[in-house]
Amino acid sequence: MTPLAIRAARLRHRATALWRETRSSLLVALCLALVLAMAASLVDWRRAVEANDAIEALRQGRDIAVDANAGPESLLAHIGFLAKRGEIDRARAMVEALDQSGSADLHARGHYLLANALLRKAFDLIERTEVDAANPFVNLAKREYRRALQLAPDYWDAKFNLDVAARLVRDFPDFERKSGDELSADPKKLWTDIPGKPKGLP
Amino acid sequence: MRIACFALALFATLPAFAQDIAVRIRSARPFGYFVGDLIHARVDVSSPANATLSRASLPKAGALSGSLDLRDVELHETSENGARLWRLDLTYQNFYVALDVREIEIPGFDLTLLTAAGAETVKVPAWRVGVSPLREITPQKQEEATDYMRPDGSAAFVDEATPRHFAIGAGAAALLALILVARDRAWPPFQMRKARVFSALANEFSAQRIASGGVDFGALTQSVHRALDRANGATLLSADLPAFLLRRPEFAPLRDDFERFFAASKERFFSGQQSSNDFRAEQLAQFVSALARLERSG
Repeated sequence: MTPLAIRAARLRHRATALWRETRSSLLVALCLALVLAMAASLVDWRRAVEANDAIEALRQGRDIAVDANAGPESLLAHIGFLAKRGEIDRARAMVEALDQSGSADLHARGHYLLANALLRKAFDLIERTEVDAANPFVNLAKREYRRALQLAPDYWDAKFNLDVAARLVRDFPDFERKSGDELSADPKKLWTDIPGKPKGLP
Repeated sequence: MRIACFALALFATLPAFAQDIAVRIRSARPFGYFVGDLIHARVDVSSPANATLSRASLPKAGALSGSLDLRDVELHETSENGARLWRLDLTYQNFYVALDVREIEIPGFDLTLLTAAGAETVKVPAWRVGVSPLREITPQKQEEATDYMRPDGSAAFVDEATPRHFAIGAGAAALLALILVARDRAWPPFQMRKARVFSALANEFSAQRIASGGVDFGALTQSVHRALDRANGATLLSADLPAFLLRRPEFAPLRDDFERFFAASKERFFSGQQSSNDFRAEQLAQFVSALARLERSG
């Protein structure tokens, strides 16, 4: 046997001996670690069930206090609840909280719900022939739809409703587009207008 | 990448810069973009081998106009037929709400090429893509104005299945690990395992000690003898010890304890004394737990 082979055999022997000595303790440690992992998952599961119960209650129209630190799905459910009731300012605060956590998809849905609330408010004002008051709401809604689409370009409902809002208030660019990155999207360079109350045609 | 299926190639060679500088704009499709759609474009700038593209001259991501965003700019450098090829992958997002099918302009921009002769400006020309409306101009009349809108959509629920499956998996694995621990330590129902005679004995001792507050030295010694006999396969007397330790080398470190145990046992059962001073019940229990530990590492 070469010295290398002897050394390898000795090393293997030592490793086997170490494994035998520690095997029993490792088994106990593994068991404890698995028990801890199970406990952590059970806590997660419990939290998920509670959050889903709250989301379901909000969906059915019961007002349930949602902490700003709650999970993104709970925040979204609360935004949906507020948007349905037209509480735009509270919904906006929740959308800002939602932007801090969760996935881009959920952020997009938050902006979409807020935009829908704004657009419904605008429709309400237009129906009461307060066209001037509706204008800023439509523009805010368009901005929120745009934000939602920036976050989720394949959000078809947001595309559709942006179309609805944009036909209420058209943007008329008062400049010629010439060269790209020198151009700013300065809102002052746009003027917006409502063509009047649409006769059943938003 | 989607760019791979480019169908259109816009050519714009620039005769001003004599040789070799050429700009090509390609897009996945030049038509059929709805509001919010991403428009992928690839701008290839071929230049002489000694020229470099100034990264500061690349267009910046952001809003280009009220209805067009530049979302992403990626620059890759390759070579093609001895010339350098600067490949610019641009992602635009269209926010133009079209009432009918029409073309909108994607604005051009300037790039700066740094050559030995100095900086040269390369103009990437503006190009056009066709945008399409999502809805008909006069949708069917609805009762409520809000009926023209898409609804808020369904609620998003938290994923319950993943933590539940994870908890079940971890629980099953923990149970399996517990069975392995029980088998390793000869806990019931594995107390009869032949390979764990001493572990079972050690468990029995601690159970007895908890139940009655102490153990009877004589009974203890006898059960250790029975356990040793089982481990040996035949009655183990002090004379058989060397042969036993040869067969079970893992117990060799306890040779002195074995000898003291046999001496104490002899004294206990043959000299008529109640117990020996140097080998009391406590020490015997320690001896058994040392045997159990070595047995587990055997």
